[in-house]
Amino acid sequence: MTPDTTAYMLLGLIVTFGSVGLYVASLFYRSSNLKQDAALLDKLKNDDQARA
Amino acid sequence: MSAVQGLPVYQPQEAGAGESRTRLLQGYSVATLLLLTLSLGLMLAYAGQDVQQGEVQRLFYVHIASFFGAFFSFGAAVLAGIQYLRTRAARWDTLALAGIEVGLLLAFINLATGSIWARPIWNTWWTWDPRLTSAAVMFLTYVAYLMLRNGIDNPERRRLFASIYGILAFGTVVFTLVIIRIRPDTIHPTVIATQLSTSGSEAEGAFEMSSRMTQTLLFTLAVWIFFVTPALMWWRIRLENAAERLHRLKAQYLEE
Repeated sequence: MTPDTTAYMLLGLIVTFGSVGLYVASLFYRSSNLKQDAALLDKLKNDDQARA
Repeated sequence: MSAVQGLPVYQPQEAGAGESRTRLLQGYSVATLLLLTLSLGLMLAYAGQDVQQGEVQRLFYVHIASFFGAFFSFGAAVLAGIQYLRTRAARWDTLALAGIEVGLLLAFINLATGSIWARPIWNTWWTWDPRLTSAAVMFLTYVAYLMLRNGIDNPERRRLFASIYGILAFGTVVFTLVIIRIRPDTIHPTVIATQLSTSGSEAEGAFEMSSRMTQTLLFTLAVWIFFVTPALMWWRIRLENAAERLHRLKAQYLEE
């Protein structure tokens, strides 16, 4: 008789695609942080120019 | 638009080439997503169910594909490391870093799906079998790469160390791949190399593949090796390039 192992299969698929999804989200998060840093740097540079 | 806004990530110096590369990557990513969905559909609806193991056997497709995806990413890190040692060009170090980070993700998926499959088939989440142990050692070796890499401040020393480490660490990948064939006492089944290795061995959980299973496995392997792995590595390379550009701009700003 075939055992019912559906729950394990679903768990495996959730872990697999969840891991890939989390990694992609981390790439977006890190990219977004870089954008914020770039914007801050730009603002500081503009402020310096305005003061000069 | 100022130089600071213009340079990082979003619009490289060669704006036209940068935009076409971005569109190419976006198209590649969409194709990857579609093919990944199709491979999932084949796994669930086309491959068929294994009578002895039930539904959990379907994890086998992702388990194998993620290992070979990791194999290719770690292999890319080796080639990049060799190229870095030859040329000392930073872009090779970036490729190696992307390969190892993506390889770690895929190695984690490989370990996790194997463990989840083992629970109903072997009646345990984990056992210190030679194959499982070598896969865990491989994973931890590359985790150590990231930790040690982040501990070196000097960029040139960091790249040099990372290149050598990345080349040597690949030994654990090869060892994981071949141990199943040199240690007969492993209970890990050898499904791909037909049934020849499993007959007479202590392997538990082996099964014979039908032609539909073989087609699904080959398709899933191709998707993970030629689409998922390169797409993730490409995005990671872009992120690292952007971080490098921003780092240079910060240094430039502080000098002014």
